[in-house]
Amino acid sequence: MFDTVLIANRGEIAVRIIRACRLLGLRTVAIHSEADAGQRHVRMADRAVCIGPAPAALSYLNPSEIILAARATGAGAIHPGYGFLSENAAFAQAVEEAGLVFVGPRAETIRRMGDKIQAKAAMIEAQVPCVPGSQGALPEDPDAVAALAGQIGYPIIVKAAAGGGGRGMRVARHAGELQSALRLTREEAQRAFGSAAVYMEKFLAHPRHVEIQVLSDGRGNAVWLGERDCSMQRRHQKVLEESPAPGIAREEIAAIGERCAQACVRMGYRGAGTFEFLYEDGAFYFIEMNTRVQVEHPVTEAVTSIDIVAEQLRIALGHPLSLRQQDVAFQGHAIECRINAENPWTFMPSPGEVSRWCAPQGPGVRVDTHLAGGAQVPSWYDSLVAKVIVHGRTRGEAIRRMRAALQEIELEGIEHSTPLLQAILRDEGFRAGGTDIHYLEKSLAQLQATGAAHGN
Amino acid sequence: MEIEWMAGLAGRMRENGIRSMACTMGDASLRIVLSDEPARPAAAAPAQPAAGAARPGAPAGHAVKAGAFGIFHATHPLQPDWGAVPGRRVGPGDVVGFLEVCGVMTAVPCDAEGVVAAVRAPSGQWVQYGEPLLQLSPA
Repeated sequence: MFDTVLIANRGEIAVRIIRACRLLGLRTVAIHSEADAGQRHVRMADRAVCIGPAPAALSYLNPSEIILAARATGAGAIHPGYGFLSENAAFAQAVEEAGLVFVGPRAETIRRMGDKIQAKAAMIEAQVPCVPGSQGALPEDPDAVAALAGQIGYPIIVKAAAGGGGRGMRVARHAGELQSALRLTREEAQRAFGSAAVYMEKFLAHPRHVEIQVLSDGRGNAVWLGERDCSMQRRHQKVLEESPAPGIAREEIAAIGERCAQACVRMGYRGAGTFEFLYEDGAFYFIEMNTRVQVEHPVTEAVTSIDIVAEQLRIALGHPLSLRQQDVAFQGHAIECRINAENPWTFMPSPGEVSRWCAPQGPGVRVDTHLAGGAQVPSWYDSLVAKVIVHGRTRGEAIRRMRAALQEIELEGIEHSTPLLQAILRDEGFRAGGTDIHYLEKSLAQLQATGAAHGN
Repeated sequence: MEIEWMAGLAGRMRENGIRSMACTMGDASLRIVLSDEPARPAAAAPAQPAAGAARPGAPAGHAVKAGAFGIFHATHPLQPDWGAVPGRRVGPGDVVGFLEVCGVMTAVPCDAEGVVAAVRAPSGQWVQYGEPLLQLSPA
C-alpha cells in the first residue's frame, strides 16, 4: 500500500499519470531534468525534484537517483510510464529491493518478456499463435540455420532476442541473403543489446499490426480490452492508431483476446500489458508483448470507457481486478493521431519554444498533452508533443471528427506533423481501412503531394 | 563498464569543467579526455536564465551547485575540517562538501577560485540537482 506515487517520466504521459493519481486520491512526486524545470507535469505534481542535467542517461534513465528521490519524498510507488526505464527489469528489481512498489509487472516477468525468445516460448505454451519460426536461439552452424530457413520458407527475418520495437532485425528474401543477414544482425545485437542471440521467423509480406490490451491483477484475474490497429507506421514508429480494427470480425478478436487473458493468468502477469500481433490473411501471429502502458492506450479507453492508468494504480495498490470480462463493453470507433514536433515530410525534429497552443475540443475529442503556450520542446527527448483522440459512433464519424479536430489545432513556434496526419485522413487507402504496416512508407511521396495541393 | 555510464561521466565532467580524468577500477583503467567542441546539439534556450547570470537579489560571488540529487553535508560527518569551512580559500577541484547518495559520500568539487563566504544549503538536508550549496566570494 502507498499514498504517494513518483512519476519516473516526462511529457504527456507524466501528466496522464498524475491525472490518474489524483482520481485515486494519491499524492504525486515529479522528477525532472534541469531542461524540464518548466514542464507541465512538474507544475502539476504535489512535489517536484530536479535529479539531473538534460541528458536522459543522467536523469530519466538514472535508476539510483530516481529511487533516491522516491525515498526522499516518501513516495511508496514508482510509475515508469512508457519508454525510459519502463521495461528495464533491473530497474524494476531495484525498486522492489528498495521496498517500493513498481507500477507494472514483477521484474522476472519483464525480464522474460524482454527476451523475445523466452516470450515466444511462453506464448506457445499458452497456445497464443506465433509467427512460424525457429524454436529458440539459432545455432552457430550455418548449414543448420540454412536448413531451418528452408523449412520455414523464404522470405525470413532474423531478429535479436534482446531487441524489439523494430530494432535488431533483418530480412533475408532468399538463401543468398541469409548468411549476411545473420552476421549483421548478430553483430548489431551484440553492440546494441549486449547479446548476439538471434532467432528466425517467417517474414510476412503484407501484415497489419493489431494488438490486444489486457489488464491482469496477478491474482488469477485478467481481462482483454479489445484491439488496436496500429498499422499506420513509419520506421516502426506508430503514427495513427484506431479501434476497432476495420474488417476484423468481433468473434476473431474475442477468441484471440481470450487467449491473451488466459496467458496472463498462466504467467501471473500483473498490471496493464499489450500483446502485439501481425495479422495477415485472417490469422494472428504473436510478435512481442509490451509490459507497460502504451502511448496509444487512450484509443482503448475511448471505446471501453475504462481508465487504464487508474487500473494500473489499483492493481499496484493490491486490489483485485474490479472488472470481469462481462463488464467490458465496446462502443463506437476511436482514432488517435500522434502530433510530433518535427517536419511533417522530412521528419527532422523541430525543438524550440511553443509560441501559441490551442487544443481542439468538443464532443468526442480528447487531447493528451503537456503543451502550454511558452512551453519548451527540448532537443534531448522524443518529439511527441500531443495526442489527439476522437471517438465516433462509426469509423466514418470518427474520421470526420478527427479531420475537424486537426483543423482546430493552433500550434506555432515549432514544426509539427499535423499536415501528414491530415493527408492520411484524406487518403483513399486509409479511408477504405485495413492497410498494412508498409502502406504509409509506400504512400509518403503521394501523401506529400496531396498535402501540398491542400496547402499544408 | 558500460558506454552509458561513461557517457554520463563525460557529461558530469563537462558540467563541472573537468577536461580530463583517469581512474583505475579493479583491473580496468579508464581515461577520459574531453575535446574542445561542445558535446550537445544546439538546444532551445533554457526556461531559466543561464547558470552564471546574476539575478537581482542573488548573493554576490559564485555559487557552487549540486551536481546530483542527494543529502548535502557541508563537511564530512567524520571529519569536520574536510569540506566547506567559512573563510577557507578554495580553487577548482577542491572538496567543498559532500553529497550522500544511497549511503555513499561523493565529494562536491569546487568549480571556481574564491573564499567560502556562506553555506547556502543546510547540512543533512536533501538538495536537488542544480541547487546552490555554498557561496564563494572573490579570492
